[in-house]
Amino acid sequence: MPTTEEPLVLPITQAKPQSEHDSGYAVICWDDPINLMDYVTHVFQRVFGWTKERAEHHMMEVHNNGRSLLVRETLEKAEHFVHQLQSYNLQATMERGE
Amino acid sequence: MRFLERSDTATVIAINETETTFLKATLSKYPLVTNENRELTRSDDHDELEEDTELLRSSIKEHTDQSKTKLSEWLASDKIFTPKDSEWLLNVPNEDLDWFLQILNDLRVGSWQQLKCPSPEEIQALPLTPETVEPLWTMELAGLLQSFLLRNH
Repeated sequence: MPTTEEPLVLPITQAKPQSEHDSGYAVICWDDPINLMDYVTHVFQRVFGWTKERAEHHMMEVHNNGRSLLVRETLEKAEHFVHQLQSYNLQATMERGE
Repeated sequence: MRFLERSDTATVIAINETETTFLKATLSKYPLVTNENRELTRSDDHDELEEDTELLRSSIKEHTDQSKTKLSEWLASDKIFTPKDSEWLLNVPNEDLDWFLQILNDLRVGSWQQLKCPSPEEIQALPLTPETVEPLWTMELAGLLQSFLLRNH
């Protein structure tokens, strides 16, 4: 089995000043009827560097509950993860106050 | 089309002449997913993210443009599709596996969007018409290849 490679890195958007908005954004992946389950697991492993077991756990949450809260991060980091997940065409968004 | 092997260097899939022709034609359509519907959030009270949503779209557009350039070079290479007896071998180098999965997924999701995002049950019930046959075949082909490439991964 091949080793997990470094996550894809997209350009990070411009630096933003610290604000109250940086206290926490939830990165959420939403269910859709088109992405293959194995593909979603693969993407979680690539983007977050998770083990297969952890990636599968979140994939099954998406599948069974319609969504999974993947990580909670600052505004900039949350945007970075949403960019990466959407570059794989997963339905990912960031939500404040989740 | 059948999975042959996954080695230390590549995943190899055997495909016949007709599948090869269709696959190359399908890959040439990349990208299919529309960019303008992308959103950073599903909440209505994130006015501060409007500009960031535009950045998301332009960032992914740039990423897609780079992938399209790489795909053209990839398809022009004589190392990706190699003839063997009466069929062809598709050789996906391990370093390109993740990238190629993204390409295939774009074609699969974009075709699904062209069909107006049907549920799995609706897909099964779709009639084969001049409008549906191509996206349905593209979804099937891309999904099958994705499954092969993710096998033992």
